[in-house]
Amino acid sequence: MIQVDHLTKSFGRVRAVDDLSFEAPNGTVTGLLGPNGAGKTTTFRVIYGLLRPDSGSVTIDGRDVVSQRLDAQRQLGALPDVRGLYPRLTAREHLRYFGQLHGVSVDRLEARIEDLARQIGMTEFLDRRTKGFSRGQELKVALARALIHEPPNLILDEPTNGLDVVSSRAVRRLIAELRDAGCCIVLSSHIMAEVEAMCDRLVFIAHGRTVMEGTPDELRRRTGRDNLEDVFVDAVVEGDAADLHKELGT
Amino acid sequence: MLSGLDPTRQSALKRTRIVFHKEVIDHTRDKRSLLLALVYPLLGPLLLAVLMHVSSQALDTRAVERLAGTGSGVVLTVPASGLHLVPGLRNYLEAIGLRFVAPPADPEDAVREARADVVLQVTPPDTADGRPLVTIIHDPRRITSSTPAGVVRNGINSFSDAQVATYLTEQGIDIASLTPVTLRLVNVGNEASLALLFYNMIPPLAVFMIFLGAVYLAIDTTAGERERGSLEPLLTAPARRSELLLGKSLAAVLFTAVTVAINLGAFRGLLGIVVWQNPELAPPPGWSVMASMFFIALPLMLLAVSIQMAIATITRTMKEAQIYLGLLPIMPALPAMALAFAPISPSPQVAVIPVLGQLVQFGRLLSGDLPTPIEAISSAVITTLFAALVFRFAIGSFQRERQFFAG
Repeated sequence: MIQVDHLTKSFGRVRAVDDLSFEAPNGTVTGLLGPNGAGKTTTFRVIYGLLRPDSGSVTIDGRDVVSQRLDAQRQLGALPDVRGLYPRLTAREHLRYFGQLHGVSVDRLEARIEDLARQIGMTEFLDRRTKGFSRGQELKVALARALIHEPPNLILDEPTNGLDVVSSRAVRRLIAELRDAGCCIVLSSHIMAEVEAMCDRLVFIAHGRTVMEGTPDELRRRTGRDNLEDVFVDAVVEGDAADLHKELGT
Repeated sequence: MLSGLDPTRQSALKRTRIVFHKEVIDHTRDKRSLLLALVYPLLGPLLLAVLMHVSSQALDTRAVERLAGTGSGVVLTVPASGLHLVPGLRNYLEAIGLRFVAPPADPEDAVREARADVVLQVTPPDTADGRPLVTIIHDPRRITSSTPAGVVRNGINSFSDAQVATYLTEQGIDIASLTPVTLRLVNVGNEASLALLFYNMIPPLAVFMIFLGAVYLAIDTTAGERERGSLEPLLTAPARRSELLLGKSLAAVLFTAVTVAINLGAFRGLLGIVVWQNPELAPPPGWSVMASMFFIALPLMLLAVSIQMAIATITRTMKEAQIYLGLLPIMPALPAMALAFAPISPSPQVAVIPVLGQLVQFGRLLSGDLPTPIEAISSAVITTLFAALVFRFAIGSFQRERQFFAG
């Protein structure tokens, strides 16, 4: 379970995340949605231990990401928005490197790599160097890298971005399987149909703050909108309006 | 979940080793890293060997010795004209080893364009005293021209002196009474000392390679990793930043060590070939000297990599890192180059200064001595401590949040 509690993070005078709170339970896919610059990436970076919060806290299965960073990171698999592969290493070597860093035992690691390659559909290029990979192939390697140590919590930033229809469907199926196995998954996506298909809970954020959260059905009921995209736009616009009021002091 | 994790968890050492192993594999596949580590260290020795060979040919001091009458046979062929205008000159010069051929049509152009090294011209008198004019055309920019020009000039002067001596003796004048002193030149310079001049260039070139060997690896594993976007996923792994940077740095140290080993080995090998072809040259420093230099250089390698890492983690882009780190090898190589020509006395204060301390020890080894134990130990300890201090700074820089924001 991932718990974000009153998280605030600024860069100079820019407040990227502003008193953000939400909870992502186990066995649930939580969608963290917001317009560009809403603070999603900063929030993810705090969750996976890259940035220190100015205030507030983040815990992963009860481990604080600042004071117990390594313990917290062991419970987490991360797929950042930039896939960041090493062009001179093969896909297998990527998985081996991260598996070893996560402490996966040698005898387990090779079997795990083969399993993941089959599951994600990367057997064909498993032993090819990643230079020249398509975006879809890069994403598959990055996704496998996030899953190599069988983490109980997952952060997936745009997990199907760049994938073709068949591969997207395979990834969605994989995410559903992980959720059914009890994994806590937080993902972001700009594709509302995908969000609707994958997410059990949604957290809408704007200007670094939570503007609405709940299950898709709850959000539809609350806003009186049938379409999730309309719900999202309303929530974000409300967030903007609230900001404007705050700035004007009205 | 987490069923495959090692229940004992990894030690910091193991994580460092994993990163080290990955970086070594990664960069042994990288042409730029390999070029710097395997090919660049051959260039300095190759250049020095070629220069030494050419200089040794040009400064063939045996010719001078023969001119002094200690040898026989032709030692220098000179294009010349008008020798008949000075009676006895041709015979005198041929007797001391010069041979004459027809001059080119355009003597000055021929020397300027290196078609001839030196040309001797004797022209009829154009002044009232009726003395023929002897002209030596040479190009002092070329050692292959200035050396034979000196030989010809000495021959002409020697001929003039002999003529004067003969005339004065015929007049009944004692030559000794006209010369208050007797001049004797003892030339201790020979090919052997020429070689030593070149061997003094080994330390500055080796220091240059120490600070160059792993430059690309340092850039690629820090600024490059950030720019490529692979730093972010790497930092999501449960490892301390210090462990990651240490693993990368150790890979850089390995590449530097390989570079320096190749460099020193190439110096010994290539200079050895030159000496084999020119047996008069002093033998190059032995393999044991080169091995000692390598071990003395080890703390300096740590310092070089620490500085490279510190700079690479401070800079925001690969391009910026390349600019600064491209200049880095020149900084220690410049004083090293100066010391090659103007050695300093090896005081205890100098011995503890990183780079200078190692240079003092290199100098001792090249001159056939051994560094004193106090020199060797204090230099190694201080340089290693300094390297640790700089590395601590690099870790601090690597931990800063701006690491994630390239450009």
